[in-house]
Amino acid sequence: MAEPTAVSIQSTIGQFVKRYRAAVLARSLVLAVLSSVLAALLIWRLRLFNFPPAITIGLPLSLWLVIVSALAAWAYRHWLSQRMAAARLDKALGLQQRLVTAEEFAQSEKAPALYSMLMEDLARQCTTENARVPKKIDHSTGVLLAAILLLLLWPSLNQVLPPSVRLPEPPKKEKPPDASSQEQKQNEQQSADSPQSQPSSGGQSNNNQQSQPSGGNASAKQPSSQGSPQSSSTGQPNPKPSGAQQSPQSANASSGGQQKSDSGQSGQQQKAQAGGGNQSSPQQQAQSNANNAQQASGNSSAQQASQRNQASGSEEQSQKSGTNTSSAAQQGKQGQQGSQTGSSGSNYQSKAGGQSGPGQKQEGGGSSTGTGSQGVGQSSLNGEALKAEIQGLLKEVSGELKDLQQQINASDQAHPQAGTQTDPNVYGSAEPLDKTQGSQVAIQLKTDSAPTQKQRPAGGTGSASSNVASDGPQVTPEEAKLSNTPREETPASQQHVPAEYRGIFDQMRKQPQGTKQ
Amino acid sequence: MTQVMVTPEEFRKTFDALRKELSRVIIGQTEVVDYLLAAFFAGGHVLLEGVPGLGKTLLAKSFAQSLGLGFKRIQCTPDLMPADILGTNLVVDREGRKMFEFAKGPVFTNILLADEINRATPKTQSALLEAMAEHQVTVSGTTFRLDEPFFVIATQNPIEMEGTFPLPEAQLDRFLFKIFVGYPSSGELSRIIRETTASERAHIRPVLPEAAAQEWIVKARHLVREVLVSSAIEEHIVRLVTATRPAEDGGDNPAKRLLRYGASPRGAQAILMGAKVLALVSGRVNVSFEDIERVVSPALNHRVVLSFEAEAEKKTANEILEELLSPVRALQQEPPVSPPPKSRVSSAA
Repeated sequence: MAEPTAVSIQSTIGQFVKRYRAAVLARSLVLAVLSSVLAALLIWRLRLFNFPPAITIGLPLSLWLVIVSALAAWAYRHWLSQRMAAARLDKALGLQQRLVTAEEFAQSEKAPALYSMLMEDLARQCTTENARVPKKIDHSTGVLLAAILLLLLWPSLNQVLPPSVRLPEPPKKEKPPDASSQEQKQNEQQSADSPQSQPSSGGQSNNNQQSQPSGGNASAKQPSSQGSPQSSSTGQPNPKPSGAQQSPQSANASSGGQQKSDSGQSGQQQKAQAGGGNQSSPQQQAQSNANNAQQASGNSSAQQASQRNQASGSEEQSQKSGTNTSSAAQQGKQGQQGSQTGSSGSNYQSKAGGQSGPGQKQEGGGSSTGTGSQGVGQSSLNGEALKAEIQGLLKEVSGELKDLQQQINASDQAHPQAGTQTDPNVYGSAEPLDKTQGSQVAIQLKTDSAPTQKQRPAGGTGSASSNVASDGPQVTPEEAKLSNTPREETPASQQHVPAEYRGIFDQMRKQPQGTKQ
Repeated sequence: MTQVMVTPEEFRKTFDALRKELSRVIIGQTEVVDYLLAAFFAGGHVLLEGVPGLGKTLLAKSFAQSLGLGFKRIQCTPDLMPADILGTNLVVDREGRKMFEFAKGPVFTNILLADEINRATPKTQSALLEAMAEHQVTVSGTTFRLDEPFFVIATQNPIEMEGTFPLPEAQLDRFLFKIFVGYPSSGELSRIIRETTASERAHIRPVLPEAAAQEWIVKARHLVREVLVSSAIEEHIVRLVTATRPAEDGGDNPAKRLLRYGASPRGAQAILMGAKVLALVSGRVNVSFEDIERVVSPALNHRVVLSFEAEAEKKTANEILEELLSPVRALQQEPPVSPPPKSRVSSAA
């Protein structure tokens, strides 16, 4: 076995460096490609949501830049040099600094004494095959792949939503011109025939808008008011819808009675019309078909909607015969909406029933022709009553408007001053304070200037005097003189002498001092 | 390329034989024995610290016997004079005339045991400084070289500090390692009392032949100096020693709070020399980080001066070193940034 030399060690380390760098490059490229794909998918997904371009392109682009920058930094950090490779190999193989030391001393000019032994030791333990290099595919690749798959499999916006969330389709606005022109002609003929034509103040337009639903209402109300002659003729035994129609009608107490009377009158008019001609028969047939469709489909919500619309349409017929006031215009709009919805409801009914007549396709202007045929039948008495009612309503509204205006004006007034509330006369005017007497003092007490009753010089309030108080202690002068008490005290004088010995003591005192010994 | 007379394999075998021979008399204390041998072959001196009765004197004596070297013992007392250690001139009568003759002191030996060195006066302690550092003694203007190898084993008692003279930092710095001798374990204590109180006691047999021991040890010390050291190891040692120094520029580092003075350059030399011996014992001709970690504590614990705050917290030097050096150990994984120098000198310290 050939002894390892410095060249072989260098070549060994060089091979490991190449392998390591190749692994780093491969991993970086894989991750860069995956991040590019991820960014493209993000752009595609964000475009579906109609986000602005700043978000659609900016967000994925910034994410891609962050990933690429991180990859570049990682690759730079792991770009091994010869020495770093030796240290990494040394640590990976547990060589305990053998390889690092050998790599360093291989570059020295003079080989140390133990260098050959170091190389021999390395030859026994150094095999770069066991050294790890960065994996091309790792957990970060898995994360990117998962993100890409998630974006690919996410449902797009073009897919059909499930039926549970299906919204009702808007009403179709297609208007066959032939049917509308035919109905207009029919209405004109009806209006020319019937003497009780509607006023020409534009009521026909409103009434025309109330074609089918009103016709439907009329046909439905006929059973309620006239014992359903039309129902027998048209085959509409439908007490329930009539009852349902009656309930929304009764809800409006102010116009309920008029509605019924008007409905009755309208029913009579329809009778006359029906008896007069067959101009309304197609419409009546369409209405009957619609009612049949209602019964056939059993769609309670559609029936209720159509019934309500029909009821609103009947209310409009009873209330507005020709004049358009502000409130009436609103009601007329409501009626238009109701008629449209009613017509849509009737259209639904016709669809549900599978039958559709030319009259059912009328809307707006088309429907107005049908309404005009029914509006002709309203009497002038109803119009006058309506006028009166409308005028009354206007008065009420105007009164309420006046009240509201007054309230607004009152709220716009300036706020009262604090403490005065809204009535300035609650508190009287502030009384000025009396001027103080005496010196210029903010608050002058009466005791300050009041004379003291007792003469207390140099004390209390008032001015000080020079008089000395007589109540104070006085010093009495006395002459100096000697004291009568002797300095030396006599012991005998202090002792009590019994009476029987007083004579003896007196004798002793009288004796001279020399003889006392 | 210089010739190496003693091979690493031979050194490792001799080291193992010495270790094994000493374990026959010194029960337990394996780490103490390893450090003692490492300091001997590194060319340094050792300070043993432990309570009385742990076998410090026996260890030194057995150590000398296993190496086949001369051994002298000095019991330091407060009245010990420098002349008692170094020697003195005596007036002798020779050839009919009186002359001064230098009587060598106990320092003239291979292995010197200075027992309870902290009981000797500072003057006597300083008498050993020249002998330990330069392996020579100057008496009355005459310099006498000491025999090689010259190895001082000093002991001191951590208790009974009254009436003692603690070694100054200058003298402490001359010991390569300061080794703490601890209590034996229960098993070791059982074996001690069993073997030392028996009728037959183990005797140390010299591992090296007495005639060739000195020459072989000198060559072995030369081999230790030939061990290879990479620049990463050198920088790691520098970081370790620097971490023990309080900041001098007014900055704040952990050493500033716990130490008054850090390790000197002798500390770095002690670490590297001890690591070289351990590398040879491990069968390598290069120093590794594991070798460094094993000798840091005995090499630096007597070279740092604790601050008042550390003493108030009753922290030992080993605890402080562990706290200061743990962040440095974490950096040893990264290779150095700067490229190694192109021309390198094979012998280090």
